Amino acid sequence: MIGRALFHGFIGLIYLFITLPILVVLVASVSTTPYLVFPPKGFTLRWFSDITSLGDFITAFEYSFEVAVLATALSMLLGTWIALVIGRNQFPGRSLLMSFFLSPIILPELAVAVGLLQYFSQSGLIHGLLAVVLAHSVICTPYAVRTITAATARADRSIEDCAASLGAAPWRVLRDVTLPLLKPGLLSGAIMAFVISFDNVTISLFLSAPGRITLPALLFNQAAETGLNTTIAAVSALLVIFMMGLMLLVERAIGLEKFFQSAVAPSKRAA
Amino acid sequence: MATNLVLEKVSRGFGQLTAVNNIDLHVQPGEFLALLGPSGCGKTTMLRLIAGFLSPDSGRILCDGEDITKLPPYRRKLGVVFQNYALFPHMTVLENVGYGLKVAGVPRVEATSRARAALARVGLTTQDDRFPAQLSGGQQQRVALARALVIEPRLLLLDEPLSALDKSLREEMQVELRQLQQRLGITTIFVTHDQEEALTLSDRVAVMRAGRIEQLGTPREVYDTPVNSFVATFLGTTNLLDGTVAAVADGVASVRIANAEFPFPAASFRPGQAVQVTLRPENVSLASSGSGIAGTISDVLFQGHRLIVLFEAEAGGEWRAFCPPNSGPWHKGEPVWMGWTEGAAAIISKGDDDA
Ligand SMILES: Nc1ncnc2c1ncn2[C@@H]1O[C@H](COP(=O)(O)OP(=O)(O)OP(=O)(O)O)[C@@H](O)[C@H]1O
Ligand SMILES: [Mg+2]
Repeated sequence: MIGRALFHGFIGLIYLFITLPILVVLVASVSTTPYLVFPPKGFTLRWFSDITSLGDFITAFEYSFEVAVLATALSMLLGTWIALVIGRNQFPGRSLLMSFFLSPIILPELAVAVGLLQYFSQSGLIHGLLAVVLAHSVICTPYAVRTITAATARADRSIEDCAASLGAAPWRVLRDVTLPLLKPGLLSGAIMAFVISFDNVTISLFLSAPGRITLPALLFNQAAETGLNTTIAAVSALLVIFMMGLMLLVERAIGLEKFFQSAVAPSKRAA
Repeated sequence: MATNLVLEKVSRGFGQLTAVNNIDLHVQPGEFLALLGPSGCGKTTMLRLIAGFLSPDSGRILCDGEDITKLPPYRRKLGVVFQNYALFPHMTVLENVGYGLKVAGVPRVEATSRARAALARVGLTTQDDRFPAQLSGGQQQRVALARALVIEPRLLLLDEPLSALDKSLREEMQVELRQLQQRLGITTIFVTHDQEEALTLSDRVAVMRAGRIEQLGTPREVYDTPVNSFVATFLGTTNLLDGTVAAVADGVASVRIANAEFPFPAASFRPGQAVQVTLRPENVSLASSGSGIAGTISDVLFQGHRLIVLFEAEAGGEWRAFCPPNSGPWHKGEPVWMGWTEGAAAIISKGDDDA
């Protein structure tokens, strides 16, 4: 009994440790002081209304969103292709190729950023939004590949074989059976990609241009220039709330999918 | 009407392993053929080759004379049912069954009514709008069967379709499956590792081992006259008796087993040759006096529908007999004589296999 209580207490502490910084930001954002203090002094929502006056943040948010959506779409296309074509077929050099596609997960982001910047500026053709989206896709795709590969490994190949034997050509099997079977995996892959892109600072900073900067990069710049002020905390607080809202939405969507996912495993006798 | 299927020298390996080894097989139109063998002997691989999910390393597969070796699975028009049913989890029962028709471009109304008819044929009429996960194992099995049959396939390929069901349901489904197959007259290949199921259902049984067909014949042939001890033991309990050919005359070999001699119809044996005889326990006759192989009863086990009498021969060797429960009475330690009616035992030439 005591052991259990201790264990739960320990887990609770870990959670607290992880979430504390976020809580600090949320709480500190209502302080009446213009600089960041904890605990906050007084209570005001002034910094939140202030944000709207700072059009830069809104533009940056829109830009971030645009980049994240495009990078997610591109990563999902690539990730699905890689998971299905390379993940599912046996050929020499397959695992090497797979490691190559997963390598951005372990490579230092800074190195990736510098390398891409160099590459883009030399090629001269790729700049602005396209450059950022491509760069983000480089780091998002591995996560998409990971989640989708896990989903393809779980999915029962004989279901697709059955569809083929019923007369479905490969593209039809993909559309009617494979992708629906992978839906939960695809959704989690998309969330991963979106979050990774939306959160990214390093690469976005390197590839930013005046007026074309993502929100995290803008926050980083501001903090570097003027120190931590309460406006930054307020923007961060809004970001946290935005992300949580997004997760809740997706959770609801995935919650519905669980029903199907349970049926992907060889079906047991159900109630 | 029904389709015939021919496999010509078909082989398929995975790395070092040859899962299907140079198989020749002719399946007759309308035939119910069982592929029987232990786990890993290549049954599923053979079925997947026929279905086109795998391609053979060598050999040809012909369907009604048409070479389908290179044809992709979606052009073969074969009905497939797997052990885990492999239903589409995101489609309802009706959508599952109707899928093959939808893909073929059959108009919606017609597809629905044909899917309903197929479901009715397998005895499932009230579950149209359910999802597979909401069905019992037996119901899923029926959906899988209806889905395969609705496209009016040339062949029906079944990979252990009943093995996930519990015993009583399995026996019920065996009968239904057999009746359905007979009614439709569709050529059917049925994979199983359950010998009783294979014997019960099929017109012919192909007993497989390590990628090869050891014996192909009617259930009676493979059961009563197995070609080797592997087939004999795989198809149920048997006594393997060692003997020596004493004399051969007029196509009858006289074989000495223990202290007695028994006649066997056999052509190609020479005197002095060591042979092995397979004798099913239910064909053993025991007598408390008289002739035959002398020995002692070492144990009697009551199984309800029968007795198992364990018998130790004077000349060495322990054998078993299945007797009706009210026969005997047999007692442990009593002397008995063992024999069989002519034709109830079969010679397996010794040394032709390692089982
Ligand atoms: N895709 C594959 N890759 C590698 N080896 C395989 C593959 N499929 C089958 N094998 C091997 O081929 C052999 C035959 O397999 P198969 O599935 O045909 O056996 P089976 O007779 O159906 O057995 P079971 O009764 O267990 O289903 C096995 O040794 C198996 O490990
Ligand atoms: Mg198998």
